[in-house]
Amino acid sequence: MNDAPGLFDFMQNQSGKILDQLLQHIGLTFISLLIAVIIGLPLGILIARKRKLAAPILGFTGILQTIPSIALLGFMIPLLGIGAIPAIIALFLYALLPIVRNTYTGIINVNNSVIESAKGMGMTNNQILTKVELPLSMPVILAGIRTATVINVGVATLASYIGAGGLGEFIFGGIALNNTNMILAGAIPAALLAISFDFILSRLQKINLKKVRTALLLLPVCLVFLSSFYLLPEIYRSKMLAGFTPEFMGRNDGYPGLKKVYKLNIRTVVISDAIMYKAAFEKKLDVIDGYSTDGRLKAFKLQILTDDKHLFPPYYAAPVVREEVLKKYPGLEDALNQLAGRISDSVMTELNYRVDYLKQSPAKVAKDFLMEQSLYKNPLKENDGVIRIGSKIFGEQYILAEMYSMLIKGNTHLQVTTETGLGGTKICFDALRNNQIDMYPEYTGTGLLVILQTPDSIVARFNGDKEKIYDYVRQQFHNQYNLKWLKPIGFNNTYALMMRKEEARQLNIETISDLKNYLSKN
Amino acid sequence: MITLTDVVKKFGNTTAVDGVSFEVKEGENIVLLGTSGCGKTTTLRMINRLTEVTSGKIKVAGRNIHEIAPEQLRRNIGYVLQHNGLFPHYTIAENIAIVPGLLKWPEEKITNRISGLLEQLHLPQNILSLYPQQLSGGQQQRVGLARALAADPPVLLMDEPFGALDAITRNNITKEFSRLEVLKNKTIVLVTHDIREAFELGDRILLMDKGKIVQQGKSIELLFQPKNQFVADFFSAQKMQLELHSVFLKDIFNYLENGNEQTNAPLIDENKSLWEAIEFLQLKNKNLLQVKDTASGGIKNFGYNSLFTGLEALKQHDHE
Repeated sequence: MNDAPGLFDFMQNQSGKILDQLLQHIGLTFISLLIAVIIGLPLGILIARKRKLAAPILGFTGILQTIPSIALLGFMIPLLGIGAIPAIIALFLYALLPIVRNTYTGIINVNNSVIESAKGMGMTNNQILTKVELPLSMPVILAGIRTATVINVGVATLASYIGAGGLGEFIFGGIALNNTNMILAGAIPAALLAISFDFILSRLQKINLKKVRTALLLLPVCLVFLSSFYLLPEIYRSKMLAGFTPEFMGRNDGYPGLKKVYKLNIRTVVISDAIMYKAAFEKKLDVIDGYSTDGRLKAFKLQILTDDKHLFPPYYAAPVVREEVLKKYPGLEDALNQLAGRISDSVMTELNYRVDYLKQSPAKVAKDFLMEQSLYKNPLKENDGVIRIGSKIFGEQYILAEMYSMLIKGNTHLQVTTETGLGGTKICFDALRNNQIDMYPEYTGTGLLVILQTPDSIVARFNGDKEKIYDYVRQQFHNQYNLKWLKPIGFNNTYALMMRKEEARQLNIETISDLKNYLSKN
Repeated sequence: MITLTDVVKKFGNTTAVDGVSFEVKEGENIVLLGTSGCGKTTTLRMINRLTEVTSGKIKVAGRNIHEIAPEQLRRNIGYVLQHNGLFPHYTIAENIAIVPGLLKWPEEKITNRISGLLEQLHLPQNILSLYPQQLSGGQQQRVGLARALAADPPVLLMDEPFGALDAITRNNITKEFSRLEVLKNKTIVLVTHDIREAFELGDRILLMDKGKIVQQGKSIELLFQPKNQFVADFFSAQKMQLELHSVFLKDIFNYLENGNEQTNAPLIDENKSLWEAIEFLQLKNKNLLQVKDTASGGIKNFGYNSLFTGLEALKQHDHE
């Protein structure tokens, strides 16, 4: 645990941010829980009264539960945009099933002779509900609320993907940046939060049946109180809103760099790159970070702001391969290098556009391109070993992985398996180092800053020269990890700030400095 | 007090209660007796509208029950179930106070009523703050009875009230029950499948089968003048015991032999049953007892033999 002192320092430095995120997290969890209780409890009572409705309603809430959380958040964007509202609604939908089902189960399992005697004594239906059924099923109902709370604390980490904040900002930022301390700074409070809420609710569940009526009153008060936490950090506001990926928020060549080099100060939300472009297009965001070769630039009518102070280093893409594999299969390196220098920025943007926006399959786009370049050969007989190709989770990487797969099959007798969609840089790189994959396409800038964590003083020496950076990264990877950078593919997929074309023209913003000046004036 | 006229209850295609009519007079205890599925419980539940009639008319205290809101009706009818149905989250005091609470009695009146009831039902006062599951089965059943009696309803409906108790507890509580002062003036309809319980508690017994009343009358009538084979068979297994329980010394006085005056034989009350006379004989370890007939002032001696001869003679006479 040599991380321990570093973690402590990190948490101390970032304590303000952690507190903000923690409060947002508690707020998100409980606003959604409150709504789920307000709607779920009556719904549970209704289906306990009208049993015919039970199967369809429980079935429907069950189906909601099976939708992967990230997908559910994705569905919300076109309807509700980004930020707190879609996040709360998604969390509410997840909390619904345990609350509805436990209310229903609790009520229908109340001893029938107790209900009969209540009726026989002349209690009205409402009196039976409030004096008999609810108090007696309260432990089961509380168990449902408890389950919902723990689910919500977990799912709320994903809220950071759509700009709703919470501890997910650190967790996903840390994963993207290969920063364990940052992951832990988000994950530990989240885990403690889940454990402590679970504990508190378990106490509540065990208290004397007699005091249940007090608990019943106390619960909404607590929920409202905790929900209000979310509103606290919302006090400060500025005119433009920027949406940055968790990775960009933490990288030295990301938002921290913008603050240092350009003195840029803008209100930010953390958001997943999968939905960022669309959110900018729909005017939910004004400024986003992105990749210069991204196909969606064209599709969503976005404009890159010129990096007039050279903050972003070059990001030339090249395959990174385990040296062991290259030695074992001598033909492999040549096969892979066939792609070297073949794809320019504009070609890559076009290919990405076809996948990201026209929704063509990466395999088709890859094959079309190789055919056009006369690089495509029919697969040879497979009687050699297996090469495992990895990729990060975005279109460009999928296309490259497909191309390499086709090149290997066409030029060697090796078999190929692909492990696509390995999340961010950290996951891909760890998979490569731990011999889970044999190669994946990487970018020189990412290698330099994220993986090697090269200090500023050395980076400054390169002065943005692409050859020098490539040589440095290749040397360091060989020395430290026994990994080989093959020849660059040609395009430079650098980071970029972008805005809607229309807005940029109206405000007369072309460079990042222009943006800075605009913000400080308004 | 309670009148049922041609009451029918159908569940789908099955007829649970098929044209039942009877009347219960004020202060009378009647028992609906029969095997399970004969419609006795359904009949009972129709009286407080826990089950609604398919057709027919029911009146309680002169009013048609369908003209009264079910909740109002039920608050004036005590209801005791087999599984006492006490609220597990209420203390004993709170359980008993439910109906008076619904009727908005003042606090003090409720407290007084509760402690009075506990005394009459031989329950200790210190159970008031306990929860039902902390009491024994017999105590729970008594609390159930106390709860049904709390608002002093004139009518009490009891559905197998002792069914969940073990045989010994049940025997004791049944005996005690028949002597309880609080029940003296109540109009009671009790449902049971237990013949002895029916004989012990019922002023009148209504024997039901397949949704119909087969025969109704005093226990001794059902026993000695069965209307048909079903009634005879129903009692046959415990016939001897039932006869000894339901025939009293005064009933057979005229059939006892005269003579053998023995002044030192112990005297027994003519209102004792034959069963109690036999117990008494065994207890005193005697061969003979004497009994005095209040009507004629005559005294007769009897032993085991003359007791059974007298009973036979009575049955013979009843048949003719």
